[in-house]
Amino acid sequence: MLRVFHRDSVRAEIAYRADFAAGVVLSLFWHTWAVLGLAVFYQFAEDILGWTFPEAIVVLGMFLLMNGFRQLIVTPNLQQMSDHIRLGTLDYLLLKPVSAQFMVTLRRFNPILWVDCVIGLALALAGAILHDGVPGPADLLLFAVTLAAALIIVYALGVLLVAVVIRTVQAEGLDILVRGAFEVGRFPVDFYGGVTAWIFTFFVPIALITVFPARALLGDLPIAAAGASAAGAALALALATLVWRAALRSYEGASS
Amino acid sequence: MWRTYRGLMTVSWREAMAFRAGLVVYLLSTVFPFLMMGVWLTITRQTDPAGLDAGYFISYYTAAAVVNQLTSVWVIATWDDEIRTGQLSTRLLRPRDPVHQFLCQEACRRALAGAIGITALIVIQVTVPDFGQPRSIGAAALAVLSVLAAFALNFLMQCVFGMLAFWLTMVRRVYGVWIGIGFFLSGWVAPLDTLPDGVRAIAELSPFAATLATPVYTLTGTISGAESLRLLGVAAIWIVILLVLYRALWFAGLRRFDAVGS
Repeated sequence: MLRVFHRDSVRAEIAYRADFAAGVVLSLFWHTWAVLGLAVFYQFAEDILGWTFPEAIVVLGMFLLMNGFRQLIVTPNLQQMSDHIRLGTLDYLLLKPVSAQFMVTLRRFNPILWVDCVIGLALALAGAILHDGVPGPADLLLFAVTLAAALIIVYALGVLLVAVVIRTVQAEGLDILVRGAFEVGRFPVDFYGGVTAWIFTFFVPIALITVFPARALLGDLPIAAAGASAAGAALALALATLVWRAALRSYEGASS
Repeated sequence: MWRTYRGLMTVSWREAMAFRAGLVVYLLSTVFPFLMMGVWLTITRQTDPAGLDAGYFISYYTAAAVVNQLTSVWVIATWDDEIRTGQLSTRLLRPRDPVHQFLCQEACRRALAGAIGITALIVIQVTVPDFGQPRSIGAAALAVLSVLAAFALNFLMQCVFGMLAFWLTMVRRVYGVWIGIGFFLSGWVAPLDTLPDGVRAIAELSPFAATLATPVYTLTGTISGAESLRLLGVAAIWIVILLVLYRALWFAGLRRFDAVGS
């Protein structure tokens, strides 16, 4: 079913071929800009708090990958959920025999964002290779684990937001807020120093989805941290599912 | 004309007020300049980049956030929708050019969005004497003028690109590239002082510097009066060029629009 939904989204997109080509070019353009923006800092220092330029590039690549993934699955479904509530079509959806959570969180994709994800990943790998050669199999395994955990956390965030939309109906404001919070992940969080770094490590775990996979790729992530990120992902998903169920119970339908 | 504007401004202001809840979200989402500030502050603890100190970056990015709220119009989306979906034809039946209404709407939205920021900035400047600020009445007047010029430039640039909707279906993406160039040349990503000299020279001749860097410099009192006047002169030339270009495209586009509609 997931494959059908995805194909559906891809077909809608490739109907506008010139637009798609322009999207790819634009994506390359923005990613170049992101690297140059980081390079401005490194004109003045060899390393910032121990992060060299290639190391910071790995974090930037992870940020672009995660931000792309967020827009790929979270944003379009959030918008759709808002429409469901406003138009009352959620009621029909709930009557279908398939899991409602699946239907509201993975029905729509914005496939042009795959380009962002791929370029982000390529950038992260390039940074790692510049840092000290091709990562070994053990590092790649840790990277795979933390990356999977990070993707699950982003999906869990999507579930959570969809549950919130049941109450707030409006999706745009939420999406803007989340986009703002994600921006923090652009650089290693300790760059911001003090309280900000602390908040974004523990309270809003942006560090978990960008810095952890980046460090794994650079070969200096303790195995315990990889375990912690996997546990964090499981917890996030369980929590989001619970919130979704609670929100659905409080939803009384469009007609009542 | 004056009465038209008074009427349009009243309506636009009420429209803007109706959506003030969304504004809170909008204000909270202005994180980018403060993130950049945080990184620069970390760097100033290690070294002094381009001879600039922590105080410079704090006042620069605070002012940049406020200027951004006061001047970031989004009229290109209005033009794009109106022209592509054909809604423009209903507006054309009215005696006034629709641009006047769009201008009033944008002005009211920006005034409301920027009100909190500009108040906060003035309070900080009065209470913290070290914080960058205009040092005379003349300098303050230049600061106001440069904010207005930045608003005008953003509005006109988007009108020019919006007119392309008469011929293209993806003007927002085309404008995306243009504004992407502006991210560097306007001083949004990093202060122009931290960029290589060549980039800075190009930026000051482009229309972009006047959309952010110039108002930030005048608001924080970083440049002299003569320097401000020079930068405002460049801005004035661009305003004229963009205005002429926009009107030419508008009339050419209208002829084409008639051909499609009839």
